[in-house]
Amino acid sequence: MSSRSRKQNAKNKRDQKRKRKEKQRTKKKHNSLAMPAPRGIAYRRQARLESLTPEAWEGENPLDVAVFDTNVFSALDTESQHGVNLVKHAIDLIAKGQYEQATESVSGISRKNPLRDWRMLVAGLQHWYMKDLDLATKSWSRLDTTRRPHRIALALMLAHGKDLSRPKPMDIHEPEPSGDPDDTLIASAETLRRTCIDRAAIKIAIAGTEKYGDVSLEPPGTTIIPEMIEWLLEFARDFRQTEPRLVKALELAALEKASDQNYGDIFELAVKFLRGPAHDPKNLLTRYFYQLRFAAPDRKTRAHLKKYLTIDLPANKAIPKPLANAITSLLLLMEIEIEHELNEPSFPFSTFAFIPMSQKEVSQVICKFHEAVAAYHENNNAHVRFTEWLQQNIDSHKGDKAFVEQLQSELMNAMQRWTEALPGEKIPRQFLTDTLLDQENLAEAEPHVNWLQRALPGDLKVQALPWKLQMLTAMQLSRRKSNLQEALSTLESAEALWPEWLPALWLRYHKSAWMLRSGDHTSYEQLRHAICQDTGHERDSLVDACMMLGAAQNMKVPSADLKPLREPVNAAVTGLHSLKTTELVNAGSFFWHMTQAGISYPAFRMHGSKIGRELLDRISRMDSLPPALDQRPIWESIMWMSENCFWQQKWDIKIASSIYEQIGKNTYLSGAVVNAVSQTKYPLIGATLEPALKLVKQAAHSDPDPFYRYWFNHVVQQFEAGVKRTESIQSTADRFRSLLNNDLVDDEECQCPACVAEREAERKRQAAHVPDEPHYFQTELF
Amino acid sequence: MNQTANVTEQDPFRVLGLSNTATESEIRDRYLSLIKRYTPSTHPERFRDIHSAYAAACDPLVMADRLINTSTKKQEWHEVIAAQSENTPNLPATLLLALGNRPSASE
Repeated sequence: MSSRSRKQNAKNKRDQKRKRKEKQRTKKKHNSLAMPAPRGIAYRRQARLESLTPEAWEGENPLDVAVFDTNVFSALDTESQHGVNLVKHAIDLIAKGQYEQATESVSGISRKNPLRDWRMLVAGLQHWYMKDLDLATKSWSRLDTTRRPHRIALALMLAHGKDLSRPKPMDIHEPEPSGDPDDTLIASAETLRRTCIDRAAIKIAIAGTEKYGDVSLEPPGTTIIPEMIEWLLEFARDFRQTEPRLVKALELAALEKASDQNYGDIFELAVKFLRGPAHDPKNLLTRYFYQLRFAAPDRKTRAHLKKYLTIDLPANKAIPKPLANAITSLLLLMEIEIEHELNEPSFPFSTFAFIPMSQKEVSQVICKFHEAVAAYHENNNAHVRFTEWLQQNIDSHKGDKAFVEQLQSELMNAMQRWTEALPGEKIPRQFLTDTLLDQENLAEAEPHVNWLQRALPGDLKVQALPWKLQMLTAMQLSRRKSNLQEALSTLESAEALWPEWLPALWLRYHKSAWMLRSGDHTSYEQLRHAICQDTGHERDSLVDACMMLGAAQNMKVPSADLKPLREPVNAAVTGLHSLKTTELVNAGSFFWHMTQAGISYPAFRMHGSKIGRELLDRISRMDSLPPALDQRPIWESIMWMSENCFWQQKWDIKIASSIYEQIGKNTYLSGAVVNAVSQTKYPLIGATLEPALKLVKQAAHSDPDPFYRYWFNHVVQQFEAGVKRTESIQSTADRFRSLLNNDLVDDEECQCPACVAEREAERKRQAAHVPDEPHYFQTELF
Repeated sequence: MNQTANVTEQDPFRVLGLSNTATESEIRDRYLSLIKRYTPSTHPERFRDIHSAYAAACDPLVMADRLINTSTKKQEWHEVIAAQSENTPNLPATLLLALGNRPSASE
């Protein structure tokens, strides 16, 4: 034999050996996959159970037979049929595990009714299933021994007995009503024991999970192996009919484990072959969530969700319609938040956070929100998220007037839908009230005002709404000369309702404006003179001119009469630099009272900010607030400026030194500072702000003026909400930073003692140099 | 904001002793069983808790939220089997009625 053929032979032998080994390995693997023959046990058990059907015995009570025999049932009278139907329904409920409802359904059967034994059987069954055999025995103690319920109860109790041996011969000859077990009863009890007590499925499940479930899982991170899934498939096929709950629980546990690890092939195997939970039997939702764990949703991921929402869920009979609608709404909302990253709208290091959405994108998101809200109107969170998101977009598209108006109209509609779906919600009611009152749509606002009055008895501003409604009605009535008399009486009603915390001076100006509107110039002049005398304000001084112009505009004084009222205001605004600080302060104080009242006038937009900026400029040039001036109007004008964001720079605020030195000392100025900070984009508490916040919190409980208690409380709440928002953004930023550090800078830090000590020292050095004030809270001293 | 989670302070499913995937009828059954045990006269506070937990758990939004957000602790196999071995399988109606059969005349 040539060396070549020898080599060939040797190679063939090696190949054969290899194939033999492979075959052995495959056989071994298959042997290991084969379970300790669950199929045989399960099939035998199932066949035995299917062979057991109720059979009437000779002379059996027809009422008992009617429970399972339709012919006997149809021969009964209507009343008996009704009773038997109750029993049948209860037994069906028991079969579904709804024991309490079963007991309830037969509770209508009276003690004298011949079907009472069935009622007692059902009552005892509940305890038997709960393994409370004493109570079950008690329920069944008075069963008629000649009836079927008694034999059923006997079999049930016998199944729990220790000894299922045949009864003694003497017992067999005893008369039947004694209740001693016969062969049929013992056989039934045996079957019952195997099915419900000494369960083969449990033993097989323990063996299977010990073999494939609790083995050391490799590679790391594996929570389930394919062999376990294959075994579970076999097990489910064998026991789904007799042990549906056990099979379902194991399948769900397997799905959870498969979803919890990162190996796509194992996950696919699980979701392909194992039945999902009742709301997602085809595992479409499970697939969607699993894929979301690794990447942003792509076409394939979205397709799973779409198929689930459009085909699977609507066709799912196991899920009630309201629940299906609620699931749809929650998922649509989740999809919007994931796809448009609405959960982290202000991620500080993201370039995109500063770029507002395009109009097209906004319209798309609006459509999606509509779908989420329409799917389940009562989904409060969908309304909240939608309206908040609209508000954010209104703020970020401020330059585009037409688009902002479109969004405002959308916001109004969204709030109206919210109120219609959830009439008990305060937020949309408050928004609608404010907006409708601003639009002078008083008729539509009134029901919301009434509702708020009832719902928020402790809210100071809400309780003042009837007064505001009267004021606005008086202004509206002044449009027509024919309604002027009614306007006056409404103004007087408003006077009667005037809130105690609001200065009433402006009301006198409104009255004089009404006189001007009525053409009674003499009375008008007299009242104006009286006002100036009482207040000490010079006629046509800045504050007097502003109050008069505002009242006249509100009371719809004709333009011819309005013109001379504009002139002193215009003149003052033109020569603002030459005005005394006191005049500016008094005007600021009046503007604060307007803020308190929530009522303004059209011309305020033209001169309000100019006056405010001049006043701020003057205050910023002072080293301290002049004690010679009346302090109260100064505080009020500073609070007005804080409310109208005069101090804001782009990302922070600038506080004049004269105000800064009062932080933590003066309650009103501290309140103004906290208020101004709370309106910045990223408010955060710093060492400087802490005493101010403490003072404001105290004043929120102790200030003698109810308005200030209300306002301080509101300021604190607003500030704390802002701080919470900032902190959440900061934590996101920290996570992002640590990711960057881990991925790009230090892949692996050296763990030698010297390096660890050096890093620790560096960390301490950095901690020691943390500035007191965060950079976004800039307190610039002028 | 009134969202699903703030219907009650406590987790309604935990108060009722139910799993995340409990169905509407399971919730009702559990509720009926509990209020029988904790009556308003003997356990007024417990009864109130159970009642409000039932009202919250029956809210479709709460149920939907529970079904979607399955962030609970994953059970080990032996825990699943132990829990199931406590639950006696429900007998089909036919089988239950057949337990009352008598020996046939031929036997």
